[in-house]
Amino acid sequence: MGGGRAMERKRTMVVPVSGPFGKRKSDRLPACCLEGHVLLIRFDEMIKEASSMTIAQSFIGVASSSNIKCSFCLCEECEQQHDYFISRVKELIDIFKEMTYNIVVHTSKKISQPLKFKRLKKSISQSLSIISERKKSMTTALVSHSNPKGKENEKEKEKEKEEEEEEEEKEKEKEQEKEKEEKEKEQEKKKEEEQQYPFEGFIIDGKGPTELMASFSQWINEGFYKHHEKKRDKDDHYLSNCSDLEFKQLDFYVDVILYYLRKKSKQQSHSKYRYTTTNCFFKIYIDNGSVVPEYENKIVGTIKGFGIPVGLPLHLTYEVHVPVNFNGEFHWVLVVIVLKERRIKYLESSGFYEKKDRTNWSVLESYQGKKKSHPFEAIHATGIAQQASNSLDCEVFVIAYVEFLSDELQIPFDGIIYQFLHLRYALLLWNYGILKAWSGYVSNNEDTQRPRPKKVKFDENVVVTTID
Amino acid sequence: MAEGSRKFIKLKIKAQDDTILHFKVNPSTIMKDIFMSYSSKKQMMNYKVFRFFFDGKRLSPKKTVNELGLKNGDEIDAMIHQDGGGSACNY
Repeated sequence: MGGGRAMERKRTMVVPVSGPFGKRKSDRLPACCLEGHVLLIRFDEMIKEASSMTIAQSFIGVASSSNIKCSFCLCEECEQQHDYFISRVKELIDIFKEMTYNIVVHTSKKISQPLKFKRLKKSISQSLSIISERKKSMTTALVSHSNPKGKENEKEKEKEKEEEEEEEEKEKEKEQEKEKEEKEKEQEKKKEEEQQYPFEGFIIDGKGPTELMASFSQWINEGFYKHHEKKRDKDDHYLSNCSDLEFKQLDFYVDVILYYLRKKSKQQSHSKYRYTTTNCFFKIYIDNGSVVPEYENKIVGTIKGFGIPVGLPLHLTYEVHVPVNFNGEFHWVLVVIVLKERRIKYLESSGFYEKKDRTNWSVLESYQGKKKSHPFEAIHATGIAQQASNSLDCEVFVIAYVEFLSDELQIPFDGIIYQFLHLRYALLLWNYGILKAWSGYVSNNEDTQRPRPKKVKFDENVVVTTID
Repeated sequence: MAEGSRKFIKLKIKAQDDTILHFKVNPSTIMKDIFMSYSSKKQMMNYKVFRFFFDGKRLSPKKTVNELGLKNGDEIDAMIHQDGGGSACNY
């Protein structure tokens, strides 16, 4: 139905332009002689006043009134011309009487003048032109006032206007379509240009984003610090914010970067090496799985790729990077579950592993009665870059390990400087945020939402806190 | 206001130890208010101690219930935030 309507619209748009009553010069009756002038003015007035039925009668009235002789000049030539003119007009009246019916019909249909009426006008103009030749000089002043402004002309003008408007609309539509196409093309281009994740184009092994350094340091000095200087107790403000960034929201910062790395692996679907990362609370789910039964569902959700944003189902991946936090020990560690090789790799940046007591697997209930080949083999990766002994940078190292592994690179034994890592992640995330804000795009949401439970029943006995 | 015009949404907040608190909130309530009252019930002074999740996504404290698309009966997870520095083990 919609298509049909659109077609109709188009048709109605096309007809007035291509039809017989398209654009043409507005018919101006040459009003030259005084008599002719008077007559024409009256004629116009009559047309203005006349309803369709009384046109003929009124026109006869005009003709009879034109019998009165010209008051300006009483010369013989003029009289002769006057008589001739009146005889012409009388002839025209007869034609006009025949025409009236047609006019009625056509005006009711709101179509512009019929051809016969045009001819009538032409004949009048011809008759007048004979008189006009001699007395041009006398009438020039009058001509300027005598432009006929009849209903027909108004209608014509209106129609022309309508036509023009329609044409304009058409043009506008065309322009809009063009604009849309251009926009789509631009968007496609933009999509190609858009950074899908902050690490796009920056490999961790490379020299780092040196080009962005200048703008970042400028922002730090001019934007960030200046903002804090304005505040009165700037030290407190800065320290409170600083502590928030570095201590209170460490898990957030780990989570964000791991999220982008997950996204990276999802974007690089062509590469053979598939990996995924988990939420930093994955370990808590596992720990409390026996206590809180619903955490098992969360673990299952994560394995299926539901529980976390941009999650990949584990059966599609080779490796899973799990950040593990030892909450009591104040330490981050990376655990890589190599599903393909049935191994668990353990990567950490300080001598934490050696100081810890080993778990005796055979004592644990879940491992009793099973051979060693059943559980995943646990490996402690050695020969990787370590943090300085008194530094607090384990989470940055954990992220760096994940990034190295994600690019299928060997983790270097040495040469990772923690300042460089801090700067790198701060810079890349800042750059990504700025790019997003400038070009006004939102990162693609590729989450597969878990289906909500259909019916939820509340116990009436439960204490409910109401907040307005 | 008439009671019919007010539409409350019931939310559950579940802690790591499987304790659930129930909240009845307006759709226009800012999440921060809910977090604050939750942490005060848990006898914590600062709501930032907790991380709140819904369906694996972190909930922003600045947004309202409606903006986050929470519906009646949704369950929010409250997790205690995790610190890590790496120097503690060296002592």
